[in-house]
Amino acid sequence: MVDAGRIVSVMLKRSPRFSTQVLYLQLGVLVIVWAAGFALMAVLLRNDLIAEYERRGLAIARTVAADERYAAAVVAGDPAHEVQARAELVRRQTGALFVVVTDARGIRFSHPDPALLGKPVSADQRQALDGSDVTVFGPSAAGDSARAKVPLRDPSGAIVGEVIVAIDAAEISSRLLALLRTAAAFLGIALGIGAVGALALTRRLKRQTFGLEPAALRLLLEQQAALRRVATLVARGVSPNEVFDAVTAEGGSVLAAQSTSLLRYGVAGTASVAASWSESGQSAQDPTRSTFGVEGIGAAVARTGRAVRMDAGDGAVERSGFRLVVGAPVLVEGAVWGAMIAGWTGEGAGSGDAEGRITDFTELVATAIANANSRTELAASRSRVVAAADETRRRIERDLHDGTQQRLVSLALQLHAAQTSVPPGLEDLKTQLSQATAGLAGAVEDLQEISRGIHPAVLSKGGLGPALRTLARRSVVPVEIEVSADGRLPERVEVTAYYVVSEALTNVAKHARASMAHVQVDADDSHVRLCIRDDGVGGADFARGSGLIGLRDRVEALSGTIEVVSTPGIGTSVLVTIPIDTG
Amino acid sequence: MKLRLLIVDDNAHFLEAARDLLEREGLDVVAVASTGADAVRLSRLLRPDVTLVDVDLGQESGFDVARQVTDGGPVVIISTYAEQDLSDLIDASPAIGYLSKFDLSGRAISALLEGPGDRRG
Repeated sequence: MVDAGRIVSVMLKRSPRFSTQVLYLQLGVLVIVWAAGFALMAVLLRNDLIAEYERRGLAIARTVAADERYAAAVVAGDPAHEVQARAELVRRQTGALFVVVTDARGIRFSHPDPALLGKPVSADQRQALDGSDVTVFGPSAAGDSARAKVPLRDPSGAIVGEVIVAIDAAEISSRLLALLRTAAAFLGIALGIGAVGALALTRRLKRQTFGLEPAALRLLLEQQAALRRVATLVARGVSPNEVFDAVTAEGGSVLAAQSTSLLRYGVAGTASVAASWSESGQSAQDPTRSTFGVEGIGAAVARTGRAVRMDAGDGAVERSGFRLVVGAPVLVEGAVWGAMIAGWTGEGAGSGDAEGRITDFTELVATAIANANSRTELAASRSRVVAAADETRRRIERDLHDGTQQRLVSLALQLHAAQTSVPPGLEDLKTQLSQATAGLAGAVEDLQEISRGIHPAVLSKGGLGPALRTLARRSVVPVEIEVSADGRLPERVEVTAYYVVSEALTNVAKHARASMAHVQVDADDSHVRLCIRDDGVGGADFARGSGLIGLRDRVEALSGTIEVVSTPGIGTSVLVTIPIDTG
Repeated sequence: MKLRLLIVDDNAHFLEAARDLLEREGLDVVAVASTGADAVRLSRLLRPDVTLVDVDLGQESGFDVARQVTDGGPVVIISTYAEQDLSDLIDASPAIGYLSKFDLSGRAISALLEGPGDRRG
C-alpha cells in the first residue's frame, strides 16, 4: 500500500498532496471568515459608538436648552456674558468639544474661542429653528465630531435660538480601536485553534488513508477489485485459459498499460502466448498461440526468474514501439512457468512499482495453474482407480469365462457323451449321470449370474444398446428404453453409462415403488447423456445410500456430471452427462 | 444322411469334447476351426449343413465370423453365456439360432434347423 502511495505521489508531483490542499482550504476559509467577521464587528461597533455619542451630545444640548436662564439671557442680548460662562462650564464638566448657544439669527453667545462670540455660526441652523432636534456626525471645523442641535425656547415656547453641542470623534476612533484590538486578539486565538484543528484533521485523514492520496486510493481500490475478480475466477476453478484471459485484461486495465500478454515457456528457450490483451482491443500478439523463440524481456524474466523492467534505452523495446516494458515471472511449484509482460507507449506511464503490481496478478495465475494441476492430477488419479477396478472386473469375468466355464462345458459335454454311451439296462447309471449333468447345469447358472454381476459380457461384445436392453429385460420394474447412440463408444464411457443405468434401475426396484421406469441415452460427437426416470415415491438423495455416491465418483472420474432430481410423490430422475473425448 | 457340421471355437478342449459327443450322437463333424479366416475357408470348401460359431474367438467376435460364413450355410451361435445375456446380438445376427454349449446335442441342432426360427431370409 505504501508502494501505491509512492507511485501516485510520483504521478501527481505537479500538484500538492491532497491533505495539504485540504489544510490550505481550511486555513483560507478561516481567514475569510475572520476578516468578514472583523469588518462586520468594526462597522457595527462604530455605528453603536456614533449613536451613543450623538445621544450624549443631544442630552447635553437638551439639558442646556432646558435651563431657562439661557433663553432669557439670549433674548436680553446677554449683557452680563453669563451664557458664555455657563456654557464653558458645561463644556468643561461634560468633556464636550464645544457648547455653542446662538440666538435666532445664529449669532454665537458662547464658544470655546471667545474671538468667535457675536459671530454667526457656519452651519445651517434651519432645522433646529424649525423646532427639530438634529444630530450630525462628520467633519467640522474642530475635526470629526458628533454634533447635536436643539432649539432654545423662551418660557412661552417660542424659539429664540439654538444650542449646539459637539463631542470629539477622535475618542470614538480610539475606543473603537481598543475594542477591535480585543476582538482581533480573540479572533486570532480562534484562528489559531482552527488552524491547529485543521492540522489535526489533516493528520487524521492521512493516518486513516495510510498516507495515500485519493487518486492512489482509487487506483488501489480498482486494483483490489480487479484482483478480487480474478481471484474469484481462480477460486471457482474455471479453466486456466479463462483465468489467463482475465488476468491480461484486468491487469492491463489496472496498470494503464497499452498491452499485456502472458507467455508460457516451453523447452529450449521457446514460449507460446497463453493470453494477450491490448488497450485498442486488438490482440497484441499472434493469436495462433504458436511457439516462438523468446528474446528481450521474455528471455530476461526466464533467465532471472524475477521481475524485469526495460525502457526505451533498450533496442528491442524501442523497436517494439513501447517506451517501457515490465515483466514478472509466473512461478509454479518453484519453476518459472511463464511470464506476464506489460508494455506502455505513453509518457510517464508504468512508473512506480509496476513490477509489484504485475506480480500480484502472476501469483493468481500461478495459483490457478497449481489448482488446475491438482485437479487434473486428482481427476487422473480417480480415473485410474476406476479404470483399474473396471479392468480387474473385466479380467476376472474373462478368466471365469475362458477358464472355469470352458472346463465346466467340456465336463458337461463329456457327461453327455457318457450318457449316450451307457449300454441299455444300466438305468441307474444313466440316472446318476443325468443328475450329475443337472447339478453341473445349476453350478454353471450360478457362475453365469456371478459373471454377469462382475462384468456384463454383452457390453464388451455388443455395446451400450444391447447391454442396456438386456438390463431392462432383467429388471423387475417394467423399463422403457430409448438408445440413440449409433455405434460403439469408448469402453470406459460404455462401462460407466452401463453402471449408472444398472445402479439407477436397482434403486428403482429397491426403493422407488414405481410402476414404470424410462431410460434414455443420447450420444453425439462429444457427449453421452443419460436420463433414468421413474414414477415412484421420490426422495432419493446422494446423502443416503452409497449407490448414488459411487455413481458420482464414477461419472466424475470421467469428468462427467450427475444430477439427481427426486421430488417426493413425483418420482426420481437421474441425469448424467459424460464427455466422450476423455474415454 | 448324416448332418455335416463345422465347429468354430478357439478352445481345443471344447472342440474335442463337442466332436466326441456329436459324433457319438451320429453327426458328422467335417471340420473344426479356431479362427475366422479358417472358418470362412473351410465353410466354402466343405459346404457344411450347419456351422456352429462360438461368440468368443479370442480377439475376433463370433458374430462377425457368423456374418462371414453365413453364405456357406446356416449358422448357429454357441457360447457359455445365458441366451438372454446375448439375445439382442443374436437377434441382430444372421444366425438361425443360439445354443448354450451346455445344451449342445444333435437333437438340439436338428430342432434349430427344422424350427420356424430360420432367419436366413
